[in-house]
Amino acid sequence: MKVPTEPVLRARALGVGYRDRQVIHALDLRIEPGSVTALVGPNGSGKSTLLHALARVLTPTDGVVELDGTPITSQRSVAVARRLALLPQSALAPPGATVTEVVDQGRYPRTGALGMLRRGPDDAVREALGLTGLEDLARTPVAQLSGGQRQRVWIAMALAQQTDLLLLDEPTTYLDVRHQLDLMELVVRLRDEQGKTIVMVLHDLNQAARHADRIVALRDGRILADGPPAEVLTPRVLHEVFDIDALVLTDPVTSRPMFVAR
Amino acid sequence: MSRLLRAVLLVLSAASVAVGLVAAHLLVGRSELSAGEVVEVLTGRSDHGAARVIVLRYRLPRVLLGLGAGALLAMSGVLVQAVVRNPLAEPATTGVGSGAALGVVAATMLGFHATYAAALVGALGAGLLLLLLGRRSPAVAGILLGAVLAAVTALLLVVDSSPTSSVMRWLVGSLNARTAGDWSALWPWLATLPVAAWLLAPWMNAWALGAAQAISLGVPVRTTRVVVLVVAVVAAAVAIAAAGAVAFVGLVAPHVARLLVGSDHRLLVPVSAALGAVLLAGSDLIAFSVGIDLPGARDVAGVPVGAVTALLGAPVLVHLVRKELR
Ligand SMILES: Nc1ncnc2c1ncn2[C@@H]1O[C@H](COP(=O)(O)OP(=O)(O)OP(=O)(O)O)[C@@H](O)[C@H]1O
Ligand SMILES: [Mg+2]
Repeated sequence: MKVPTEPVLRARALGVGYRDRQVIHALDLRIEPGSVTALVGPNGSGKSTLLHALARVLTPTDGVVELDGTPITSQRSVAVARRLALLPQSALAPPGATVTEVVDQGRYPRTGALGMLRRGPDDAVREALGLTGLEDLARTPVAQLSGGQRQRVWIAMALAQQTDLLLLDEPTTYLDVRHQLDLMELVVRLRDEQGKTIVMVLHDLNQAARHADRIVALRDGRILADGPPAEVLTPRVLHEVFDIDALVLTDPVTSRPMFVAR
Repeated sequence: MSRLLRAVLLVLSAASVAVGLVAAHLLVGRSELSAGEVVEVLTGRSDHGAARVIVLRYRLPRVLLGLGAGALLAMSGVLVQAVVRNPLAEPATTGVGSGAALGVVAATMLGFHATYAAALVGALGAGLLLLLLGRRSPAVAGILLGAVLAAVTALLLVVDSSPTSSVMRWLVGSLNARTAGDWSALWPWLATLPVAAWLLAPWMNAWALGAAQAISLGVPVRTTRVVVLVVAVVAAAVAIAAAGAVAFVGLVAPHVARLLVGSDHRLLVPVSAALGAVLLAGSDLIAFSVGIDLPGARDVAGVPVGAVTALLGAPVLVHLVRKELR
């Protein structure tokens, strides 16, 4: 029997919004340590907004986000950044900065501002570059990279933060099939070998079903389905969340569910 | 590392150019002084009273003021650009310069001669307005603010029917007729502000990734924005109190520095400051040499250095605008 664990990250009656618009409504979510969770849902359903609130980039309008059992907004921001890293959906490339210079920024929470003044790229940065296959591009200006190479730079930066928790917003966008697979395998490896906890927004439902332990489906800022892929990837849920008519099959390679639209 | 090496070499070459500029400024002038006489004055062995006054009271302070104000303006440009996330920003295009100039002009007209205090009040006021009005699009807010403040200054000049050339020099920027007293007011700032600006580099580097990313790295974005803006505004105000509202140095020097060493603010701040210093002192040498035979050149009426930097800077501005629009 599975022993219930304490969640590392938890949203309680969470409400998040922008100015006059409420995007997330009374949402409850528990993220167990050492798990891979995929967040899915239509465009504008609030996935990025939820992720930003979980990373305390956005302040909730209602409810709380708890990290290790304590409200995240009452913790020091650097302390939070040592526990969780965020890969935003749209990151900005500083003009002229090289790959190494950008990835190096991920060390800020560990070294602090004064540390950043005197140190250069360390082992964590080199390791992150290696994990994302960017060694050969280390000195290239980010502005000269392709979309997929650039996406790997942001992933490397999040990895360089060396946090137990990774919140990734559409990490596979722009990546070719090979690099998508590499990234998903990396995510699973980080969970298995280092016990990391990963929450990622994915648009490819088959990818989510194949690599995640759990899928959370969001629509209009509410969770419509939450559970292992076999429970979430069903014709009924796909219809309720995405308004699609789908056929769900069993993936012959992984025995996980996969869908094709009718 | 190659960028670090390049930055070190750039600062060293700027330093040697600066030495050359000092030598040129000491030798060029209405009164003919030989190199030997200048060296005698500098080493304290001269008993030629007039030469001592010319070198120590006028020529040396003038070039040092040019170097110092240029460094501060360039540094302020880097900081302001980081705050508003736009390479077109500088004290002159964000209203901060106009605020400082307005402060000085208003104070001069009212008969106060606390130039530094007036420039600081004007620039900090403009900086505060920029923070309040410019949440959405700080770059646009800065340009509008600058236009409004410049209009207010123009209005003051119309109302006061005797606009003296000493008021005009704050508006364009001029180092004519500066003396040792001006230098002693500037150097304490010069000893502190660049260090402060350099210490802010890690925050500016993190912001460059976007607000969400900076916050998630644990950078206190809201407070650091205020801190960086205050240092930028104080640097601009002090430079303007020393040299007037010289335009373009805060734009050109950071732009060239970015092309040469990239966007790491740890390198960008010192390299921009070094380039800004030689840019302003070099322009002033041109202004001075051109204006030397004009009537009234000995006092404030000579060619203002701001006119030279404007001529040099305008093409860079056009280039930057075209790059932004592409
Ligand atoms: N900065 C913002 N200001 C105001 N409204 C916003 C902002 N960001 C997002 N929204 C709104 O909040 C809603 C949810 O947006 P969010 O980015 O969380 O969606 P998403 O699920 O991540 O979508 P996508 O799949 O397109 O990335 C949308 O309707 C969007 O218009
Ligand atoms: Mg999104």
